[in-house]
Amino acid sequence: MESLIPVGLTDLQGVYPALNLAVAGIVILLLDAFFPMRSKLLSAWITLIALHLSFTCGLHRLTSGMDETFFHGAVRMDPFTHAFTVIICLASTLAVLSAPKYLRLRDCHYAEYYALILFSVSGMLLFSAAEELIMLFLALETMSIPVYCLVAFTRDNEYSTEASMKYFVMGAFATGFMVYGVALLYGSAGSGYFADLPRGAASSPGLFYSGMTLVLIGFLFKIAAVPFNMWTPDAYEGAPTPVTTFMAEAVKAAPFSGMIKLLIVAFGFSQAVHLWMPAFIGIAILTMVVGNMVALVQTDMKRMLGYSSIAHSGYILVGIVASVKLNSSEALASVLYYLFIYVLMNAGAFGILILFSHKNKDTNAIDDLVGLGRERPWAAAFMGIYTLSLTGIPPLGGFFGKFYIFSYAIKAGLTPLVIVAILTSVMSAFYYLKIIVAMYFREPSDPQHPAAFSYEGYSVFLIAMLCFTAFGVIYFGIFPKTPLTLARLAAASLIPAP
Amino acid sequence: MLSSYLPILFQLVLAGGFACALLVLTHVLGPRRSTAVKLSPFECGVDILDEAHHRFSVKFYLVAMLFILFDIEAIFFYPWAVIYRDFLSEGLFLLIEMGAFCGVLVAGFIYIWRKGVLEWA
Amino acid sequence: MIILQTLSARLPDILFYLFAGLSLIGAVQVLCRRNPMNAAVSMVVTVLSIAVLYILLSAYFIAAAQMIVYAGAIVVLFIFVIMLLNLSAKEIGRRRYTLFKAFAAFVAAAVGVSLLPGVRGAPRAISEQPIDPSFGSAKTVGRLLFGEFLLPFELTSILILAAMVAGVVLAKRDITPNRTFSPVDAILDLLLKSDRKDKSP
Repeated sequence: MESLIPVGLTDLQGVYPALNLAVAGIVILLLDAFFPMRSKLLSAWITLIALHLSFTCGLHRLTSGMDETFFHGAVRMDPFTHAFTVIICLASTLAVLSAPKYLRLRDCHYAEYYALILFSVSGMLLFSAAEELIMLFLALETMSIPVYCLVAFTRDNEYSTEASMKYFVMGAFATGFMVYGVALLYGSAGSGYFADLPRGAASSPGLFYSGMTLVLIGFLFKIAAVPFNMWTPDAYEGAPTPVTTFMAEAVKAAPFSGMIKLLIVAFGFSQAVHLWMPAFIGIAILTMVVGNMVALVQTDMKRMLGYSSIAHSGYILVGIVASVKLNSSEALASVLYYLFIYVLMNAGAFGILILFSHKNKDTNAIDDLVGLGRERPWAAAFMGIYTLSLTGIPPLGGFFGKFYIFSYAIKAGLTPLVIVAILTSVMSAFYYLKIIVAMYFREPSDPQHPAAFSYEGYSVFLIAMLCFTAFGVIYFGIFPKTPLTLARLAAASLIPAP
Repeated sequence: MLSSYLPILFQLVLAGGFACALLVLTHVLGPRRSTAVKLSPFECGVDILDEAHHRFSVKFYLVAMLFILFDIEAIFFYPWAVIYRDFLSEGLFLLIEMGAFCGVLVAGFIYIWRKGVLEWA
Repeated sequence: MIILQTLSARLPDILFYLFAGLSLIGAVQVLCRRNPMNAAVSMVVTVLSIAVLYILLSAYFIAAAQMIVYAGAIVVLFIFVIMLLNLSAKEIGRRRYTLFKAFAAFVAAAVGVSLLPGVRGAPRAISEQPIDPSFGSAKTVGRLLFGEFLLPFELTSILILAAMVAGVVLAKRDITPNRTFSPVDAILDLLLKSDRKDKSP
């Protein structure tokens, strides 16, 4: 009898970043079960430490250029994965930092929040490492299911529950597409490993291309590209703001990792590229146009940022198309850099909303920010930095992110796409500037009773998060060298230099 | 190989046919004398107390969901138990594999227990 | 006798078409039935027919799992939800035909048509390979599950745990414990060695 393929400690060490988070999640649950404490700060600290460990591990592996497969090829820990480990852990840390006070204000500060976040993040890390379809699917589910629950975390709030329901139904729908596609791909290739999949295109092209389409549709749902974006604004608006922060960054960045990997490794041969590339170009245009247009008329900040996040998905799709077309790791590096900056600036914008959220009511409407510049100049300045960066104003990170992506897209000969992207960016300036105008230049409608801005959502965690993001947006905008070098290192592992 | 299951198919057809035939025959042959009293609904001979359409408590749902999760867990024991004897030389390794799987779920079980989900309060 | 022999030779095909048809009928019924309870029971038909198809493919373990998990547990959960909502006929409402449903039917038909050539082409390539007699048994599944697919298997436990916690958070009315444990008190207990619990009523 042949033996089982042995799995050793090295395999466990290989998936350490994800393993560490899952274990921390279980520890939090057990701690809460045996020693329920009134203050949940211990759980928050455990979460932060675990995320920090995974973050530094990812960063260390990225700089040392580790590239190995573990568990018989189920996961591949290459610099690309490490880069996403870093981005996802950073995004989750920012989301966790923004949570404690807000949840306490809403009377739902439970340890389960942190455990669910940790499980979700460990799913994301494995998702970005997956090299096999079953692994990919299971990791995707591990990442999504906790988020469905987190959206409904303020359980008495009917908006929150409704958002969760919508998100869950649409997410399950996307999962259905995905798993159908996975089955077809497996059927055509007879193997689930990404590297083996192109074989299926030769033996039974019908199954293969149907499977590819279905899997990509599943991914487009997850990243909220336009025909599949209907859940985004409702889910973003209804979810508690820290959860929205988590969704807009970590849950947004993670599907891109799996999608890019699958597009390059499994669907990177020329016949497949000829099929999905035109579709992706069309979807990117639709995503940018619709996302930005609809954001123009929003009056609610969370909803507006939801649409803006749809639009940013469009820009990232432009970068992906360009990097596949050029077959250049430099172009892919610009996508990674963009995601990194996007995480910082978006987290900051949500952080300001959390800072001014009240016990029973969020400060979400743009009108609620009228007079912020006069009353709370510091907070308004921070908000200004984030929105200017989201618009893409030069010295800030958001500008360079867009600039690199667009310049590579032009190099790839995607000029019409870039023209649309630039026009929609200009359009986006209107609604981002609306926030700045509201903060600095608009008079309150009732001058006798100007809105009172109290830092009800204030906590040390949140202030740390805001300072870090504001600093990051400025610093990594002016000195983009470090993140760009790391991003190039990561991208080179997926697209080897010619 | 499948032809060895032919008797089972016959048995299925026979059993199904017999049951259907009985139903049809009673329907056709049996005399039916329905009166107003006979047709009125009743509960164990007592007059109806109220309607049967009540909403269930969500507590049932929680228990049912937990049942499914542990049911799925139990499914994974079958293949493990079957191969355990074949890989006795790697028994410790297999034991650890299953131990890790169960450990996570036992942690979940402890969590549920301590949270009082199993109490019918 | 000859009839029996041909019947037994054609048996897999006959069974396949019988149960494939049944599963399709069940699936269409799930979609078309207005009464959710009828739809749930139709789903049992589909699920069990698919289990038979698995047996025909000699995937015995999957067939058993399908019956235990889907027919046994998941449909029960569906029925629980239906009873939880307990919609009356008035709340369910009449059937309506909308443009959206027509579009959905069109998409479904398009997926079917696009898959047809692939499905017709694939089985020939696969059926030419001889099937290992142990294929699909619990042993083979076990060997794969605890060898090659170990990480997905272990990840399943995390997934189940996350689902468990998510369910408890959403459905349990009160998840704050009655008695909270204060670390400060515990440390004081240890230091002062005084039994605080006896003093407090």
